[in-house]
Amino acid sequence: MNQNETDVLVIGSGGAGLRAAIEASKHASVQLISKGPMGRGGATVLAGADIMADGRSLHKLGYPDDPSDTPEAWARDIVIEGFGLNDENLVEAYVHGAGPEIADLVEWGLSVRKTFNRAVITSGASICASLRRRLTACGDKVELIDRMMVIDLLLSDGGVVGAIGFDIASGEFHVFRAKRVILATGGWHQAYAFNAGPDELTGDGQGMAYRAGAELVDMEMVTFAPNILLAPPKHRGSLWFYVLPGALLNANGDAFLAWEDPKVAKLALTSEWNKLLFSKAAMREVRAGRGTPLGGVYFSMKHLPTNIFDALEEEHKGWRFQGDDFSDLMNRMRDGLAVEVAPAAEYFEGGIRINERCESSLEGLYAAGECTGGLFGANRVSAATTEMLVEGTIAGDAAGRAAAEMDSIPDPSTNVEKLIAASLAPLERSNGLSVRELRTRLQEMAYQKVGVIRNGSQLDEAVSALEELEAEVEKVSVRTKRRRENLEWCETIELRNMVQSVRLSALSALERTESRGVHMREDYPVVDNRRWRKHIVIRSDGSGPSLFHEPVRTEAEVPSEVIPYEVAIVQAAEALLSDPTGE
Amino acid sequence: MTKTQTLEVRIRMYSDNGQGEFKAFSLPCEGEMNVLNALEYVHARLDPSVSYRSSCRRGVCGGCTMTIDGKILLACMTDLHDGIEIDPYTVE
Repeated sequence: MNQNETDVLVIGSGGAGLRAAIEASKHASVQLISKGPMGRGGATVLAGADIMADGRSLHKLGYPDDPSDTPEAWARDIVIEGFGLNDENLVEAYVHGAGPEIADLVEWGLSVRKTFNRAVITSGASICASLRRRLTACGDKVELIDRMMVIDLLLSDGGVVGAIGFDIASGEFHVFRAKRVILATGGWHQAYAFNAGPDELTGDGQGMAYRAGAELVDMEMVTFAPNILLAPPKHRGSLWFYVLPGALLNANGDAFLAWEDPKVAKLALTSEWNKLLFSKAAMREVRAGRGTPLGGVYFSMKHLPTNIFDALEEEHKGWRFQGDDFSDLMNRMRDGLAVEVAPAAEYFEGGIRINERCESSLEGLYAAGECTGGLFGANRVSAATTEMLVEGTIAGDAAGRAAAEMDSIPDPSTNVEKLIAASLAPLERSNGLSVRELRTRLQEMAYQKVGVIRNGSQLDEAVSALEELEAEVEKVSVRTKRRRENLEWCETIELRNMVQSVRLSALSALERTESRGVHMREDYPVVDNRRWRKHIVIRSDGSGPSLFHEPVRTEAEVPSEVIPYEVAIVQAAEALLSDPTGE
Repeated sequence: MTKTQTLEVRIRMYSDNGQGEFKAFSLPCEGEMNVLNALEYVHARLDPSVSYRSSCRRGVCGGCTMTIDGKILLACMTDLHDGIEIDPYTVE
């Protein structure tokens, strides 16, 4: 067994983890561990990517934005977008941290392609490259360790003092003892049969935090991106048609998007509100039996005049997007082909509960980026890139300073030998369940029953099925017995994290008997501000999940009425568009 | 490749010295597939001991770099063809 000691252990090497490591290294020694590709892992490389800040900050940085816009005006909009469920302390940290983050990234070589309202447009690859460049300049203060499958956190007196994992290449276990631990592990995309996330996003941080006893919040809130390509297999999951204009048709060929309110139409067509509005409309068609053979809807560009098509082709560099070349497919689209698309799990508003210093409810444990919950409330419209940068900086700073004050690493009380034995049990078990079979069952169930549109009876079924799945995970037999390069073994570790993440999500979704933001209940189609202007917080009580409610902290006037969900969206649109600096 | 057809892929099996034997697998090809799709199919349905690395699936992160037909390529950006030779464990 390999023993490691460091001041600050950062888990995850997407944008949040990289940013946290950079900041923590100003005060302390850092180990940055990642199971995916170092500095290119997680959702960051796939980001669009816009990095948002308020107009005044962008104007000061020399970008053409509205100098009369303020962090406060932006914060107000974020809370409207989040249906009032946001943790306003996190919102304040986010809007004030945004401008400095963009300034830093530009100094580190970020390439800004253009600007938009409250945003600079760049690419996820450029964000990662800038952060990696800066990280390299930190020298040996940061040790990078990739291909590390982290299993669980190490505890001491209820506080977190490290983690344990195994090296995927060698199969050897590593103990990481640390004064402070930062989770930056992203969402639980892969728990959904259809998702738009990279392969390694399996709720590892949420699962580990839950098992360690940390609080999680707003777990029912999941954003689905619409218009995600279902086929052919090589392009499945691409956001390509999310960025192009087109018509959505059901199986009868009917265009089903209808905006009764012009302000809602404007939100849908000019902001990331399109995620909520398009996904809901598409899934209604599918659930009504008007879906395509693959379970989505059709996306057509046949109506576009040829000169518009030509201009789009030029704008998109001959139909190239990320690494994909779509020119063959686009030629067929030009001839009238409609492709099959569907909403895909894309962003998780809920996660590990943190305060404005990115501290979790456990001593020694911090979290940053998408694995956290509370900032965006019930609906994220503003940029997740900004979230990962701001929270990465805050977590790195707080953890680095705290570690610098500590003399030594507390001894873990966790029984490491027992954890290792439990991790090896699936390899030693000969007649057990197949991880792939359980994984597929989880993914289908999550997409159908804890998906875009929910109802009580489906959520009830999901909660029971997930409880069963959580028990079944402990009976998995990994058929591949070697320890080195054993994908099946890694998937077993990931499966438990995915099952627990979805279970907490389903429990919260069942508990929230209203609709709010991305959480849409067919059986409760109202925003119930009398009863539900509160977070659902979950933690493990040792034997299972335990839920409690906590009122949203806010200084704004809280509406107390019960509003039909569709009316609440119109009201949000009116409030956002009445602000001259709004989007 | 619009209709279902069967393709044969040859995948190097894992061994500690990196010199494992190539093993042939047949898989149905429904629409255009890349090497990563083939590895996923084989791992999930035919032989779970076949392991590989992957991350973004969109040709950005470089995580699925491996040897394909003797060349270092991204599995997620390399189209499948009958008889293709895939060595997921040799990355340079």
